Amino acid sequence: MSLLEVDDVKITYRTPDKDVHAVNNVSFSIEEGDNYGLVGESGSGKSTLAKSVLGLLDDNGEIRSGSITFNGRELTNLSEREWRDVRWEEIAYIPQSAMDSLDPVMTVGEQIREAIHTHKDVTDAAANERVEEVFDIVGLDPGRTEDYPHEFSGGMRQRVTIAMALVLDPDLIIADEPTTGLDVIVQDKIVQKLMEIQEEIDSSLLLITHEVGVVAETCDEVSVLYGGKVMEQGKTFDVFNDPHNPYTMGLKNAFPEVDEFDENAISIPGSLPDLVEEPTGCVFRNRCPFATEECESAHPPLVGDEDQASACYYNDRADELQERAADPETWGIDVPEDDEGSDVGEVIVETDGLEKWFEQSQSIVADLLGGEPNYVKAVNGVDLDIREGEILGIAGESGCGKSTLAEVVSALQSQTGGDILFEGRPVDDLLDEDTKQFRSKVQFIFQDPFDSLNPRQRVRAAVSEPLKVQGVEPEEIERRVRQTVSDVGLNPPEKYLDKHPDQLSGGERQRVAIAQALVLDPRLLICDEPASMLDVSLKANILNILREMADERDIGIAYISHDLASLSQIADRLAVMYLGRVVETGPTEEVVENPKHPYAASLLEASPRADPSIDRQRVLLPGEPPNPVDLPGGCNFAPRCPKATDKCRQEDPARSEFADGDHEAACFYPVEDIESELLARYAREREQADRESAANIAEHEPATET
Amino acid sequence: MSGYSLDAETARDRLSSEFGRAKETMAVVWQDTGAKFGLVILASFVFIGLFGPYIAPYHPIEDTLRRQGAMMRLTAPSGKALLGTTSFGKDVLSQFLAGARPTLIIGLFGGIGTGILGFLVGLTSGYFGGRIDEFLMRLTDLTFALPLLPMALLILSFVSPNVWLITAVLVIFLWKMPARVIRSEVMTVKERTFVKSARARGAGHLRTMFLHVAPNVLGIGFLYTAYAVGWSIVAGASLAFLGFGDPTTTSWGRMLQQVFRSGAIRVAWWWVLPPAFGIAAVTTSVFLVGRAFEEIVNPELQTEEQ
Repeated sequence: MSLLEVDDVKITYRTPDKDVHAVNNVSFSIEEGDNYGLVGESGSGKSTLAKSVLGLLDDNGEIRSGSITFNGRELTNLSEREWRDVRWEEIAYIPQSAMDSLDPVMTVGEQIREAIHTHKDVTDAAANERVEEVFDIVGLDPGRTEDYPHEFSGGMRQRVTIAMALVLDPDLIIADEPTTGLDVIVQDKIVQKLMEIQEEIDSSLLLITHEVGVVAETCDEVSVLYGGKVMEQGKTFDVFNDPHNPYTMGLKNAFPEVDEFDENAISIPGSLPDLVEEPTGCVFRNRCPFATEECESAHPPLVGDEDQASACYYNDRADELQERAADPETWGIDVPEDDEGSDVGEVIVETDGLEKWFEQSQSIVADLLGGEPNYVKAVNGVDLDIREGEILGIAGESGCGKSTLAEVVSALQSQTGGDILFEGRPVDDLLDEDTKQFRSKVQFIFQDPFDSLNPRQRVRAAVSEPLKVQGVEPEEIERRVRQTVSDVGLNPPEKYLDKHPDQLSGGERQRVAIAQALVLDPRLLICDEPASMLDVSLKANILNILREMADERDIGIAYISHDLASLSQIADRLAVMYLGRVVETGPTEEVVENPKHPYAASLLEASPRADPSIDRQRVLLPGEPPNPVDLPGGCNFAPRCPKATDKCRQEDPARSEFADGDHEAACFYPVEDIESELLARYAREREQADRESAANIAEHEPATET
Repeated sequence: MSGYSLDAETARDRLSSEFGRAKETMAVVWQDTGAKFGLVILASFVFIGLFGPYIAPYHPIEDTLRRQGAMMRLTAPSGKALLGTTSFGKDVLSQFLAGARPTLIIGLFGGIGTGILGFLVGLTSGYFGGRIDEFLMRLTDLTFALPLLPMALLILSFVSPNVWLITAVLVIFLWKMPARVIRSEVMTVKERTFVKSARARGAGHLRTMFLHVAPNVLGIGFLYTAYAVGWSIVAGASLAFLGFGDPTTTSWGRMLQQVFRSGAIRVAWWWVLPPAFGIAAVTTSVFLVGRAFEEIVNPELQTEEQ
């Protein structure tokens, strides 16, 4: 008997107008000790399913039919009191945003103890012991149980929530996007930890995510969901290695891989169907390039065996479809002619020793005593240049100063040191001369498409605003607005111009934001994670638009992201930042294939792979980036670097310490072989740390007993 | 520089969309029974305020009612004086009808003035922050620290009060409430990406402030304007009751003051109740409408609506 069996479940949400059919006849089962993945884009019903297993559906949600059995017990008709016993003790939950899921006014230990006391009648001391135990399991210092959530970093807070889920030894752990919003290196460590824990305590895991790569690397079995339906189901290896369903193919192809260069990313055109009616045909037919009339008739049944089953009428033609699905043109994407390299023009912007230091507030007394304030060196001596028709990718973990750099270069913040030269002239002079003129040449695209458009402005007003500010004639404005809106792929423009932002999907909103930036024909476009909040299938679309704009309009683009995979697809050159400094820069291919700086190498290795046949060694880079206040002398990365020597700790390597043509890295001992020099050492270091802590506990334990 | 000015087309576009929203809002407000009740009372109040003196059977001050040659002092309601008379033989109904106008002026203009002044101060303070914010907020602290009635009495004892002056004094003391609320709201909106985005697209401060920030806090502004109408009416009536109203006009507060001074407040119920009910009904209606309005402005409910 399976641990969890979801059988033919239908869930609807009541809304004032119509019912939304979020989940339609979904079945799957999880065996004991297995990892099960639910993959799908937002709106596919995966979170709804997870919530129903926990009995935490929103008030307007309802399980219409089907059954959910857990350990042979029917869950759908439990009372609230019975639910309370099941939740946490048998089924635990790791929520998506660890930032919000911890109570800021309680110590983390107290919060975990609360969970224990609710379910078990134990003494405080015993509860405490258990808390320390789980802290140790998730790799947190057991001495920190009495700290408050804000004293932990993002990755550590996520570990606290994992510890909380583990504390009652549940049979099933549901993890809802546990790593979304974390950096790749942290993500890699968390995923590794989850896997280890799972081995150790032998529970099952239901992992819900939109990251194909994470699922492909961790789960035994998987269901690919779309529009509330299972599109494909089976063994992870089979499903992703040899997908039978066009949606799985699209999803896998849209997922960017670090070492696929210059390939036109695949995006799935169109958007999710609105599920106000029960699907009559295949839910994916509107976006599927292979759809035929047959697909209209009914949603295809899942056909196949236990290892792999797909809901498609054309399963038998899977091989042929796979081949066609790999070609972007199948998905309606125009592949531009390859004329790379030739059109990189003059330097548009150049920074020279650029610095942005934030003064830390100190007490008035310290101020009066003439104490030198501390500075957060967000950007610390950055030299970069961006040329016409070129995309410069800036990569780094959160907190490395890349967003600050972007805002300083676009003069949204002022620099505290160094120079920015725009077309050979200092930006300060240009701003003094004519702010408006400067703004028309440098434009910015923000991360969050849901917040970057004024909710009270229609698309037309939003896109024409920059032109109005510049005082362009009304007819001219109308013409250019239409042109730009259609250039960013919102066709026909009439359909979109009179819409309010809340009537648009995330991808459409981001395209409006891009249109806003492009309508002025800027010379330089700075994009701060423009695709990070979008679904995979749309992400590629945004990347393609930017690539096209760089090529056609000859503008320089700075693309900032922590997602190296999408960077390597789009960028001509890469710059990797660590703690306010550029540690490595060079042509994308060079840097990705042959990284020289240990940090850049670790970052690259940490990107998950969607191809299940690749066996990747996890990057277990110890520690977290230190607070950029009071940095020690020498190389910033030295404290975490396995190759660091005394020289690294005393001397700061110049950016051109390693130089091979355009490829530069600030390292005295450039990496030759990532595997042996870094990854193996990280793993060894960690094992050693684990042994030490185990030894500590062994020493500790008898002491507490007596 | 045109970057700092609002062009006519954008403004027109804005106005029409705001007008459309106002219509929708009214439709939602109308759904609420309490608000419907309030709106009806407010409408009749505005009607009396505008036309009261013309429909009053007597002049509220000049006409002294007499019966058989004797002044009708403190007579209970009768056919001649529907709501009875005052201790000086004046018709209470006429005073009530005529007294609505100063109350309306103080309420309407005091409320709107408070709303506008508070909105602008809050917007400026929240948008610019820093020293400007510091200065304006210390100013609001000051007005918070000064008690309304004693200070108003102090001012009004040096100058001869009239309706407009009293309105102005009330605005000076009431703007702090909307200013504080609007400021905090603006500070939240200011942090949203589209405001930064507008700056990056080249919009100047005025444009950003009025076209991007202001519309997103307008709802709260209206809500507080509605409340300010209620506060002004109450405060205006209190001043009149304390004898600091305009001595030349009749107002509801002044009627209460007169009945109190005449010593008949425990006997002449027909003289006390009309102004008292008038003030209570109007302020209650304002709050009823305001409450229905708040449900729309409340961001949580709003997102569900959209």
